[in-house]
Amino acid sequence: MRRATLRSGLREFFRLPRFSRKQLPRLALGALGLFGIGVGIFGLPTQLEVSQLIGLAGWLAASLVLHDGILVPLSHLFGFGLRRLSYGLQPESAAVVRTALLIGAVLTLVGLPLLKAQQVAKNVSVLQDDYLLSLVLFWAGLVLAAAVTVLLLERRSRRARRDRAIQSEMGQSATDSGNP
Amino acid sequence: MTRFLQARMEGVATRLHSPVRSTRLTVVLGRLLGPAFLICFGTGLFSHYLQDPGDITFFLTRPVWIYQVTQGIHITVGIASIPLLFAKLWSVFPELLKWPPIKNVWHGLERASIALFVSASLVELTIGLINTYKWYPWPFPFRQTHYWLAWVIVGSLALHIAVKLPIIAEHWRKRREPDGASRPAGRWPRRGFLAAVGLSSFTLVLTTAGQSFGWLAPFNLFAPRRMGTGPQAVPVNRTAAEAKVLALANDPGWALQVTFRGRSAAYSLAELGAMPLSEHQLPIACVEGWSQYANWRGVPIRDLIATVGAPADSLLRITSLEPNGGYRIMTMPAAYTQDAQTMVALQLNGEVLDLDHGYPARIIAPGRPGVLQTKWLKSVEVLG
Repeated sequence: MRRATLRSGLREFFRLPRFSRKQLPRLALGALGLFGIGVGIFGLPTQLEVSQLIGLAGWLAASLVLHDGILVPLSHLFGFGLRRLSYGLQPESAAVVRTALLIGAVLTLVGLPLLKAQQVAKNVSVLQDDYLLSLVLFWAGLVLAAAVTVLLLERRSRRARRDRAIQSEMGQSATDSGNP
Repeated sequence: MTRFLQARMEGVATRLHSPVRSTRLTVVLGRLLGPAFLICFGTGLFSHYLQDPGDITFFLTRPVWIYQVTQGIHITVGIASIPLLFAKLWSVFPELLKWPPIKNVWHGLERASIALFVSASLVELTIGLINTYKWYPWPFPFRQTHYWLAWVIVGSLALHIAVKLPIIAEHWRKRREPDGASRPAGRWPRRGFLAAVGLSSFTLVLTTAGQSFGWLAPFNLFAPRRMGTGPQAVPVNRTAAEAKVLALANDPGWALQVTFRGRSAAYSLAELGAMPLSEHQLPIACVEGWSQYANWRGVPIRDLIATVGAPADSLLRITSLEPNGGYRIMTMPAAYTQDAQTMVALQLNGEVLDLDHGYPARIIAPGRPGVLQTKWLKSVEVLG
């Protein structure tokens, strides 16, 4: 009984999908893709030494770990925090806050290596700006723009709510007067 | 054990659930990221074959800004892809949390190809970006690795599309959202997310592309280069001090050696200056994306080699005074040699060449990558 389950499990594991003739273009595209991957994978050792290939494999693995293990979970943690922080705000305002933070995070991710690179820069016409100042000013502008937009959106929605309340009150009183 | 892990994974997946994620979102992002990768691949191949032509004999020298534009696009689209790639990976993140992680051989192979695709894409964009900063914190050569990884990525892209084609086709067109689909408090709608990703790409391009496109220069906050700076208002990638040519370039006895079939001539700076000079506005455009138009004045190279009897459509080997370096020797195909605008430049923007721009003489040719515009010339050999 157990052996039969194992056998069917193995059969299930090694079962490849069936393709119909209609799917030939798809298969061709897949084959082309495998060819491209092959060109790259077999091309690398023609120009990279073993130690460099090992270094590259390390970078490839580290990129997955950093992205999937740190960056995405961190973005979710941020998301939870934001949801709490923006509770009570209009959906549009919450979207503005999230957009501003996303832009800021992306620019910081790209801008921070500039600061490190500046330490190893070899001549004056490369990396000549004060990127830390640029980053600080950029964030300041971003926070200001987001704050103004959120304030405007919230004020507009408060006004709309108040107008609606007044209208419904007036409607109510009109109904009241019409039906004593 | 498996059950325990499955329960944990499901728990994490539930916690990380976001109503913004959908197959449609993934497809929309893929529709943007796929062409962006293809543009980078095409422009990258163009740049690669200009530098490593192999058997190719066809070179474009017109328009003179061809390389400036293709490489500017390569870097700009590459940078714009960064938020798109993050968004695309975020949209499919729950796939990682499914249990069992590998259902069968086919599924295992597909997951492996995705891991390769994702890691190669992340590394490619990272090293491409950091290379523009002229910082090399990796243990492998940049250019070769960037080139071969590009093949892996474009191959993985084709394979990925082939595997996912039915799902892509199903979600290619917009479908009406079910009525009454509500959004939880504090969240954003899919469109809002897409707009934010688009704005991130736009802001990145706006604050970096000023190094390639002059009209964006006022917003150039985070580009490693700035137009119009450096000696004689042109940026420098490699200084004379870095290239260790200070003594040789300043030697008053310097002369440019020109050889063809045993005939040889040496021209001092004064003799070169006495030849009929031509002047052209040409861009110097770097693989790192920056470019700069400048006014170059010098001896047309086809006139120079004519002095030793060589025809205009000759293949040349040009050597720099640099004692070492990957670009010390450059081969110039006939397409550039015979072009009237290709010259041994002696002046830049109305002044004698600055030492950092290649004094006493350098090459400037239309439509060629900056690394091949050899500085501090030593000799020009006509190969045939």
